[in-house]
Amino acid sequence: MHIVRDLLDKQLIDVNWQHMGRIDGLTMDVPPGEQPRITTLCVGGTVLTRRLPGFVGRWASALVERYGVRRGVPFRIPWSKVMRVDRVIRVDVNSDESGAMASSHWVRDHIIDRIPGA
Amino acid sequence: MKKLLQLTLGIVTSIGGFLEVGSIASSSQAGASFAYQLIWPIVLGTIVLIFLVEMSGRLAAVSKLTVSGAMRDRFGFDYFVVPLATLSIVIYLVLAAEVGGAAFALQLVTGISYRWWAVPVALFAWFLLWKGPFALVERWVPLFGLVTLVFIVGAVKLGPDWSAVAHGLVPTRPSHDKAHYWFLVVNILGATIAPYLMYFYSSGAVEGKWDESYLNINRFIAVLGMSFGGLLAIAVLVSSAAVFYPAGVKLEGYDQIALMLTGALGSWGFYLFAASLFIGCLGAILEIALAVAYMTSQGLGWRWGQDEEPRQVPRFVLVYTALLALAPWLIVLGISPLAVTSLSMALTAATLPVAIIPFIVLMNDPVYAGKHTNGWIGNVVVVFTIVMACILAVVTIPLQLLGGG
Amino acid sequence: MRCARHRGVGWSGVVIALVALAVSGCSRSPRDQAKKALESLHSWAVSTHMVGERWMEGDVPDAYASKALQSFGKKVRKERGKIASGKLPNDMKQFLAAGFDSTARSADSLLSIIDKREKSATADILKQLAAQARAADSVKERLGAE
Repeated sequence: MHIVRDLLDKQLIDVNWQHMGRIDGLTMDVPPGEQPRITTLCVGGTVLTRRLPGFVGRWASALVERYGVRRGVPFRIPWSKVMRVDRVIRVDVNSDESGAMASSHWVRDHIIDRIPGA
Repeated sequence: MKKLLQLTLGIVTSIGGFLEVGSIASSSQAGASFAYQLIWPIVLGTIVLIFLVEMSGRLAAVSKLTVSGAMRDRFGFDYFVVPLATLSIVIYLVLAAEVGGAAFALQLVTGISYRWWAVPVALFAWFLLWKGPFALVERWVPLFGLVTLVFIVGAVKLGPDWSAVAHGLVPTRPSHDKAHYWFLVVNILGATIAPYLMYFYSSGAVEGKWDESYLNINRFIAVLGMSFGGLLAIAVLVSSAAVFYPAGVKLEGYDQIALMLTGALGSWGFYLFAASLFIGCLGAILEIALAVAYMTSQGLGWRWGQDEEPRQVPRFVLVYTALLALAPWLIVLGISPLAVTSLSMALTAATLPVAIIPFIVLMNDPVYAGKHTNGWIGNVVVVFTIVMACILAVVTIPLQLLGGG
Repeated sequence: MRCARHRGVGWSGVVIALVALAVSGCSRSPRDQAKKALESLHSWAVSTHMVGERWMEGDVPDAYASKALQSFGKKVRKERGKIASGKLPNDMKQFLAAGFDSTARSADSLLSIIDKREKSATADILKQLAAQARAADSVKERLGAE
C-alpha cells in the first residue's frame, strides 16, 4: 500500500458513516530491518498547520496551539481501529462521543446555538 | 422526472453564476465602448464554462466526490492549500461586488444609498441560507431569475444591426484603445469563467446523489444552462451597444447602466433591470457563500450540506456565516461597486490557472473520473483559454491601473 | 511542482513586458489626453441628458433621477478639477472647463426641476446639454483632422 497516496489527506468516516475529518498526518514505526508500520492516524491540531511552508506554518501552528479547542493536540486513531481502506477510510470510532469532533461541537455550542432560530 | 428538475440546478448555476454583476457590468461596458466587437469573449467564456461545469458534474456522478474533496484527495493538503487560499481571497472580492450590485439595485428603486443596503443584503442572504434548504437556491432563484429574460426582449426591441452582431461572434482587431479592449476581454472571461460555479455545481450534484445514470442529463444541463446565461450576457451587450455606443456614453457607474432598457421598454425597462440586477446578484451571493463553505468543509473533511440541520454541520455553517458577515464592508466604506466588480473579475481571470489546471489533471485521472476521463477537445480548449486569460490579465491589470483605460 | 519551477523564468519575462508596455502606455500625447477629456465631457453631457429626458417621460422615478444627477454632478466637478491642474494647452483647458461647468450646472438645474416637479422646464436644459455634447464632438473632430 502506497502510504502517502492511499492514506494521507483521505476522508475519514466513522462507525456511523459520518464524516470526521481527513487524515492530516500519520505516525509510523520503523523497526530495524522490517517494513515500516503505521501506528496512528492523526487528525487536526497542528499536524496540518505544520505542513504549511515557512512562517505561515509556524504562525498558523501557534494560533492553533493558543486558541484551538484541543490546544493543537491532534486526535489520534490507532491503526487497529481502521475498518476499511478505500476511496474513504472507515474507522471504528464514534466521532461524536470521542474527542474527534471537539471543534465542531464547540462551534455548535458556542456559536450555532446562540443564533436565533437555531 | 427528478432528472429534469435537475435542469433547474443548471439554470440557477447559470443565472446566479452568469448573469450577475460581473457579467452585467463587463457586457455593458463592452457594448458601450466597442459596440458588437466583444461578443466573442462571451462565446468563448461560455464554451469553456460548459466544459468545466460538465466536468464537475461528471466527477460528482462517477466518483461521488466533489471538486474540492477530490482536489485534496489527489493533490494533498500541501498543494490544495494554494487554490484554497487564492480562491478564497479573490472570491471575497467577487462577493463584495455582488453585494454592491444587489445594494445598488435597491438604491435604484428606493433612492436610498447603496451603502445603507449592503449590510441588509448580506443579512438577508445569510437568513436564506440559514433557514432555507438547497432547493431554495436550486429552484426559487431560477424562477425569479427568469426576470432576466427582459434583456433579450430589450435587445430584440432595440433592433440592432444583426449583421454587425454576427460579426462580433468572431475576434476582430479593436477599432481603438487596444489596452481597454483587452482589459474588457479579461473582465468578460473572468466574469464568465467563475471557478466557484464548479464547487457549487459538484456539491449540488453530490447532495442530489447523482450517479453514472446522470451523465447524459449532466451534459444537457451544462450546455443548456450555461448557454442560457451566455445568451443573456450577449443580450446585455447588444442592448448596451445599441443605446450607449452611438450616444458616446462611457459607462462609469451602475446608475448610467440602469438606463439601458428605458428607451425600448419605458419604465418597465427600468424596474425590470433593477429586478434582474438584484436577483442575479442575490443568486450569486448565495452560490458564492455556499461554494466557499463547500470548498473549505470538503477540503478539511468536515461535515457539510445545505440540506442538513445547522447543528449537524456547524463548521460548514460558520464558514458561510463568517463570509457573509465580512462581505458588505468594502461597499459600506463607499468603494465604487463598479470598480470592485472590475477588479474582482480581472483577478478571477488572473488566478484561473491556479484553480483549474489541477482540476483538469484530476479529470484525466481514471482513479477519479473512472472510464469517463476528459476528451482532448475539452482539455485543449479549457487550458488554452485560461492560460491566455491569465497572461492577458497579468498584462492588462497594471495597464488599466496606471493608464486608466 | 513543475509549475513552480517554470514560473521563475516566466515571471521575469512578463515583468519586462509589463514595464515596456507601461512606459509606452503612460506617456500619452497631449492630443490624446485632450481627446479623452473631450470624450468624457461628451459622455457626461449625454448621460445627464438621458436621465433628464427619461425622467421627463416618466420612465424613471424621482428618487433615481435625483441620486443619479447628484452623482454625475460630483463626477463632472472632479473631472473639471483634474483639467485645471492638468497639462493641456490653455484654450483647450478653457473650453473643457467651461464645458464641464455648464454640464454640472445643467445637472443642478435638473435636480431643482425634479424637486419642484416642473417637467415643463426640462426641455430647455436638455437642449443646452445636447448642444454641449455636439460642441465637444466638433472640437474633437477638429483635433482629429489636424
